[in-house]
Amino acid sequence: MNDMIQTGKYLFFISAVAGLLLAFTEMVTGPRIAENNRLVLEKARREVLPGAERFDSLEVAATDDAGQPATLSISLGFDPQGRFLGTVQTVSPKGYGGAIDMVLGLKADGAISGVKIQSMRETPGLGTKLNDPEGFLGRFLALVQGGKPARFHVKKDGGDVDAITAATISSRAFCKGIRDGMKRFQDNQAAIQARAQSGPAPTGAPGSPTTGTAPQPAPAPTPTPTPAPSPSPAPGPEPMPIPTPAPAPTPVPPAPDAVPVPLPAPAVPQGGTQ
Amino acid sequence: MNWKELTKGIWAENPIFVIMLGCCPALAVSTSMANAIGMGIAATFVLIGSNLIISLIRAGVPDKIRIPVYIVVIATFVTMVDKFMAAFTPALSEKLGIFIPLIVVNCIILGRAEAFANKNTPLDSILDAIGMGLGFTIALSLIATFREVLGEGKFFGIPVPLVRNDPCLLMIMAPGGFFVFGLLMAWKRHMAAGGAK
Repeated sequence: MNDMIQTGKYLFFISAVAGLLLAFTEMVTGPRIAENNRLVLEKARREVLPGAERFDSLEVAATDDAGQPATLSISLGFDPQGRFLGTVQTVSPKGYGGAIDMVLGLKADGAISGVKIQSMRETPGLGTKLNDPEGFLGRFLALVQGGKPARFHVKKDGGDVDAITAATISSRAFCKGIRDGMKRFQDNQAAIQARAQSGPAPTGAPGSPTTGTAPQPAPAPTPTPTPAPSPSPAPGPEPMPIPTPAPAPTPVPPAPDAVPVPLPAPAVPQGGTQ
Repeated sequence: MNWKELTKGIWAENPIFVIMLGCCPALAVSTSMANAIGMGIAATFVLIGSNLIISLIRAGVPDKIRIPVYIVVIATFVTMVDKFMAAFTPALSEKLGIFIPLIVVNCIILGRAEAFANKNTPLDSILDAIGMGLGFTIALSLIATFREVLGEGKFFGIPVPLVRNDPCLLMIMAPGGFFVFGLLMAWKRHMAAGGAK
């Protein structure tokens, strides 16, 4: 009995020391890790949506995997002139070793502009090949850029995506992530359009989402096949009306390729709100 | 300094081929050289830390509860290494971070704590850890050499002539790992028993 108390005391002591050390570690590294992750995410956003400089986040309601209501964030990317380029979102499908965090960029018409894997715990050497720019990821991007409408399922499930040998679960999860992101984009078309019309929100901009114009069809039909009859503008040079602190430009779209108005683009560091 | 503690892990008491600990990561991560070396470095690092700490506290630990104590020490150490790497060396963390959770299933670390560090001085324990880590890394690299060359037609990611166009996919899957593992172990035992027969 006495022995039990002695060993219990020792175990308690060791666990307490371990707990304190871990708490200390978390205190020291937590903020830095969060900051590192934020920087990486920022970089990834720019990579998956080329040309975008400023980002504006839009909160949308959704359901998580368990069917519970959740709030998700979609980032809207704008180029330095304030034109809407597309959206960036994080999707986390469940892979073989846990969630695969992916950053997915969709152009304004819903086509994939880029995808990047942020973190995963797939089996090294098998599932981690998802991220191989010369292998799976490269083939996937080639498929997307091929222009043909593709079904984002692995071939075994009747889709167009070549699964990684010996890592079908990881490949399926990747495809599910892509589909989830595209679905979220379609489900929230209206909200995204409304926010896109109002342009990026520099601090204290007059064009807050509440005063933004209602979504309206783009002046020109989109040149690429859109997945849905969406009122989305082409990703190309259609300028959007941009409310800014500057004297408001007329919302008449000038000729393509013309930069709408030489705006004193507010230099927002790190692209808008987080 | 007892150099034998350092060298024994490489050949005579190689953790994979002789002690046969840590076979799970050895099979899972030996599909390419880059992974084998990454896993080897991460495991060696944790092994050195855990061996040192356990050797330092060995006098005070009650015998009955030594295993739970070791597990707490190792888990704490692994978590701290993981967090500090992520915070201060994010690039390295991105390369090795994926192996950190796999170290949890690496029996070599608990094995060395129990078989060596709790009976020997801190210095010897560090030498033992370095030797065992090296032996583990070399064993993984050996397996990975065969699996990557035969299974992917590459070596360190660089295509190898002859096999590059028609690699044997089986080799990068689990059965290939067992084949290579078994043949290498047979070779090792044959050599250790005196070679030609």
